[in-house]
Amino acid sequence: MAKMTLEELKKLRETKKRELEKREITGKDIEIIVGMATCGIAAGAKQTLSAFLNELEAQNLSNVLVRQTGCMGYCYAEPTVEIRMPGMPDIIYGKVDPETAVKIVRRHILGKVLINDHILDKPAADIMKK
Amino acid sequence: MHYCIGDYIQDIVENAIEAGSTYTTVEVQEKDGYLTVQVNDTGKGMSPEEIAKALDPYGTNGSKHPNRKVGLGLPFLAQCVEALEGEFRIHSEPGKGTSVCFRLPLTHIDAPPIGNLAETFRQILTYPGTHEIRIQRTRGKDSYTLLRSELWEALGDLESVGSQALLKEYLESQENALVPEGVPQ
Repeated sequence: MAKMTLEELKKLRETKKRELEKREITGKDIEIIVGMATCGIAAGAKQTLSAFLNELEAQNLSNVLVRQTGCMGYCYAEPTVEIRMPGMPDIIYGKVDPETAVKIVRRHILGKVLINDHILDKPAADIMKK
Repeated sequence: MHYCIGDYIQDIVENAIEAGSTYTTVEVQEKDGYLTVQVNDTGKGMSPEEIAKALDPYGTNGSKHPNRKVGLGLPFLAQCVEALEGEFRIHSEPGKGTSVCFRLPLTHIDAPPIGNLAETFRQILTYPGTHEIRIQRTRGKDSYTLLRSELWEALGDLESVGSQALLKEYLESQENALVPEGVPQ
């Protein structure tokens, strides 16, 4: 391990702070919910989550909340990701690999265009109370 | 109970902070198979009678642990040093501060392990308060210095879980970068 300098320690703190801010819920109107149950993790949900965090950082989006959840019941289509944002229908995407995660940020969140190849379902309306 | 040398170091520094030291220096040097530790503080200091009491296992002023009849920190250290034929010195002046120094042969069969010094330093540096601590760690020709105020400034605080995790990472990187003794540089 290379010897860390105080400057590097400061930078690391800032990076971690920004990562934590992504989990902060106040002042956020867009939600990315990643299914992180065993089925999701086995299918690569950790890499998908990292891809979302990296792309949000790259696009400098501060109004997006990234959350983890359990199994959504679509184990055959993991990793699954639900997106909720104003002006767009709530959507669950399936088979979201890191590449698709980048597409979701760029096209769905920024461009407000659905990614048809990965649309799986919409959240069950009967249990989703606002 | 003291399992490793790091525990002794932590004990001495804790004593210093509890004695009101505002500036404590800790030097830990590994050289030629010996470990030398020197802790200087600016606490309230001790009279010769108080030093004798501090070195007596059954001597305690009752302030730190009111229901305890023993004070084993320094007596254990003195006993360990004696068993290893090392050196132990304590010098103190009331109102000025205390200085504790010990030297141990690391190759002695009964020498305790040094322990995880990065973790020892993390615990020393995160004692609550506004006091300053300067740690100088040397192994052979390699060394690094830690200043509590600098780390506080870099991390914003030293008490949150996040800061402590980063501090641990930083201290481990410092400790792991030290070249082991006997390895050509």
